[in-house]
Amino acid sequence: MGTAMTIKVSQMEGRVPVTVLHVNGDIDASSHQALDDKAAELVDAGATHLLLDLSDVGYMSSAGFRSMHRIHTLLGDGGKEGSSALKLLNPSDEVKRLMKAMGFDTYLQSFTDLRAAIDAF
Amino acid sequence: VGADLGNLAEVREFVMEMSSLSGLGDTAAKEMRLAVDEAMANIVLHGYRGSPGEIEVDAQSEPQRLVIRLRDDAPAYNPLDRAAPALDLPLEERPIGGMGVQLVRQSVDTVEHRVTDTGGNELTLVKRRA
Repeated sequence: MGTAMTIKVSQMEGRVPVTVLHVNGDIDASSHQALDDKAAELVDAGATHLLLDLSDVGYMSSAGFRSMHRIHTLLGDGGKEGSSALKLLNPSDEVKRLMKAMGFDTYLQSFTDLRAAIDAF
Repeated sequence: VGADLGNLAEVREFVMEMSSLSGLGDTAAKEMRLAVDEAMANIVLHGYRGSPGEIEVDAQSEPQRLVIRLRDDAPAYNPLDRAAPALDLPLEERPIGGMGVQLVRQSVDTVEHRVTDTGGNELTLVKRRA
């Protein structure tokens, strides 16, 4: 069975304050709402830059892409040099392949190193 | 299984087991898992529309391919009729969503829909061994 999804939130300081969402578990049609809600809550509370840590996400369906799309739309292009204020950490090979297939890779940057990700905002 | 999003994980697990038993490679297995998950979520959300129902998941390992069929008793509905999303537009200009069916198409070798004798739906997903 896939693990139930949990989200932990932490705060990092770079050029700008970055809120990190560490997601653990599968992001699918049954769980993506929790991610949408958490991101909306953080943005309401003033978060302007989000890093989505996918290191512990074993599976992501189009529901996850829908969430990323929604979060990107909420935040806009507040990153360095007009890049998205949403970035990804450690997406799986499968997610990277889907990002490309869906044309998301042009708009959302992915990183394998936390510090490099924070510095890119 | 019951037509409930809470059962997606169990079905994904089943697809991975069947893919492994039928000798699909890791990438192909994950593509089949994605296609079945997207198709089943579609049946729950757009077929049964939240009302209770059953989805039969049937896997057949054939010499050159794995065939998975999803049968339901929801009103006849062909997900493949949905228009492809505009993947060439910037995210800001795209409508959110509509990617599931596109991923189903991209992830398997063939996908076909037919209305069953009882008026329900049967979606057949085929993944060939490389």
